[in-house]
Amino acid sequence: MNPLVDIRNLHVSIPLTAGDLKVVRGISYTVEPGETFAIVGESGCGKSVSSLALMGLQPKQARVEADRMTFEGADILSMPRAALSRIRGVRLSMIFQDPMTALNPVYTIGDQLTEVYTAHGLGGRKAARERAIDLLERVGLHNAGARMTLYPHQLSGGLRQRVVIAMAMMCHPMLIIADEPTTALDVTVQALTLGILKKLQSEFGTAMILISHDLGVVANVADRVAVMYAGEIVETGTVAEVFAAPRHPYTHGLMSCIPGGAHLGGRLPTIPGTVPSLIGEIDGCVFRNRCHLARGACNHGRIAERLDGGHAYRCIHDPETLARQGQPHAEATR
Amino acid sequence: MLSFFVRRLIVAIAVGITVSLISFALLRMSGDLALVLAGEGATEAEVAETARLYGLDRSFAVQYLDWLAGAVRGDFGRSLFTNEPVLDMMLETVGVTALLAVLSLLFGLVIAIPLGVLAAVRAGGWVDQLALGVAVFGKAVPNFWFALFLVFFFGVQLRWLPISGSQGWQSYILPVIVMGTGVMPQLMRLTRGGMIDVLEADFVRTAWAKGLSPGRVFFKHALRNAILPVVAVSAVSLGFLLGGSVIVESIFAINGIGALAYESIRRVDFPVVQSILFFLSLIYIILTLIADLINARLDPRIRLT
Ligand SMILES: Nc1ncnc2c1ncn2[C@@H]1O[C@H](COP(=O)(O)OP(=O)(O)O)[C@@H](O)[C@H]1O
Ligand code: SF4
Ligand SMILES: [Mg+2]
Repeated sequence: MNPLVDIRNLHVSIPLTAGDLKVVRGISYTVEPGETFAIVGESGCGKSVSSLALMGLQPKQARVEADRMTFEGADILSMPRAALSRIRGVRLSMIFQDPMTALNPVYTIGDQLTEVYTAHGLGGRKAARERAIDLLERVGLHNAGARMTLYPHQLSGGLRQRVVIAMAMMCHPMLIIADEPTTALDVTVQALTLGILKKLQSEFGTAMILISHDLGVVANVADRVAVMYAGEIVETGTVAEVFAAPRHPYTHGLMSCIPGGAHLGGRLPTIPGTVPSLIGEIDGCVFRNRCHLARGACNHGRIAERLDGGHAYRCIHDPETLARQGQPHAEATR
Repeated sequence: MLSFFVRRLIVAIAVGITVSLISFALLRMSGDLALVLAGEGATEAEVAETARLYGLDRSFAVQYLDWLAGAVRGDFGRSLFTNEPVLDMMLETVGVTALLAVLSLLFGLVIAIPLGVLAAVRAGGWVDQLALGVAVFGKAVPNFWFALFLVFFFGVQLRWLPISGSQGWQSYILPVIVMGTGVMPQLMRLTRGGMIDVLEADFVRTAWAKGLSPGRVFFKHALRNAILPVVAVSAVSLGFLLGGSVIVESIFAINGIGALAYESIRRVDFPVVQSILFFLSLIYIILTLIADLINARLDPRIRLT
């Protein structure tokens, strides 16, 4: 079966007076129908921009280039605007981070839900209304028929995000891009909201690209994961493998910094040092100024991808060396 | 919604009383009315007699309360010049002025809103530049100059349109263009500014992500959020058009309340001037009240405040 999403060597850059801000630096990944693919990484590493590019919603000034970027086999980059509009919201839809601002304050939630269905000509008002009510009930807004006339400001943040989830599902898309769907919510409702999203996703068999800060969420929810750093995917693989045996020193740092292991969850820990400037090319490994395993070979060119079972990572070291990281003798191998 | 309306109404009444008081005071401060009325060369006794006749010898408070008591009953006194009831004179002329003002505002809005939206969508592009040029022109060119130009070009040279009078609908075309062009720039710039802000909003990105057409995104999702200040300013503009039609009405010889005000000022018909001032400010207050209500209708969040 063809992958639902196939991205190869995606670059996104934003021209600034100081030079091109290279926000995404040649990332590749695929998403299979029905699976959950997580993207993790520190704030500013290009998670949002890369997935917005998949919808053609990148910032206006941004330049997007890729060897291939297809959704359901269709090339997103060469697709005319109108054709892109026809698949947005229908075949692939998006859930944004902040439900407080993602809904239009001057229209009722009923209007905003039904609109996406009727505007794409999938059915009349009545069918749209029935579907909206059904979805609202499924996301746990009971007595949904009466609540259709509410305005966003009359709902709590958690409920608004459920409305956003219902809206994204209105046309039964093949793919949902969820950009930190619970980050802006009160901690007490984060797990609940994610559970609702996950339940709907599996009921409809929708694939999901889940962008998250939260390793615990990724461990629980995703099938595969990509770890991004400074616009690159430094490591990718199945959640089981990446969490059990992280290879890239950055991933390793993320996991081992968490007391009790990644499985307990929690936000990304901070690793000493700062992210390199994204302006212009970066010669050598993007992580080298923070890496405890850095060598002379890390300073030049682009680090090639290495494979280790169901894993791929960008580091000069072989899997065995990397597997010893964090053990008492690891530093001695220098 | 009802308590929102009641609160706004109370504010409106307070403003109405204040405005009438100020206009009353200003008119009295503009000079000794009795002296002007008695005419040049009148003796002191004649001036005193005139003051007594028109009640100008009473204290300011008494004069005001007397006038207000009449006004709330719809009795605005009589014209010193024609001896007609002032109310009748105002009612005869206000219709023409109101029609002119409403048509001018509509003309202004019909140009301002689409132009403002297009200018915002392609900010910095040629539509934006053109819109800015039109706005600068509309603001910079004085009403009377533009009016005279149009009269000369369309009325005298081309003879397409009547140059004066208020008989047929054609006689409204030039005045409406002149006055509408006057209010258009501000409305257009407001629409543009509001749209530029709103187009950056998250909910607009949501609308794009839903695959909605540009028309829907701009005019349904963005415009309704950007239009609130335009509604408020439209009400102010309409008041401005009602009061500011004095010059245009005189140029086009339109028999409206502006022309009446102009005439009455010239012949020191102070009951008429006083009443027109009050009447126009009353309309103005009602207009802002209506604008508040429209805004509350457009934006559910306003209903709470
Ligand atoms: N509209 C924009 N203009 C300029 N820079 C932007 C814009 N949007 C994002 N960026 C920059 O792109 C980089 C990646 O942003 P983003 O994809 O939002 O990161 P993430 O989602 O991983 O936190 C950041 O450095 C950010 O400052
Ligand atoms: S390539 Fe070098 S600098 Fe980069 S992660 Fe591997 S060891 Fe560290
Ligand atoms: Mg982001």
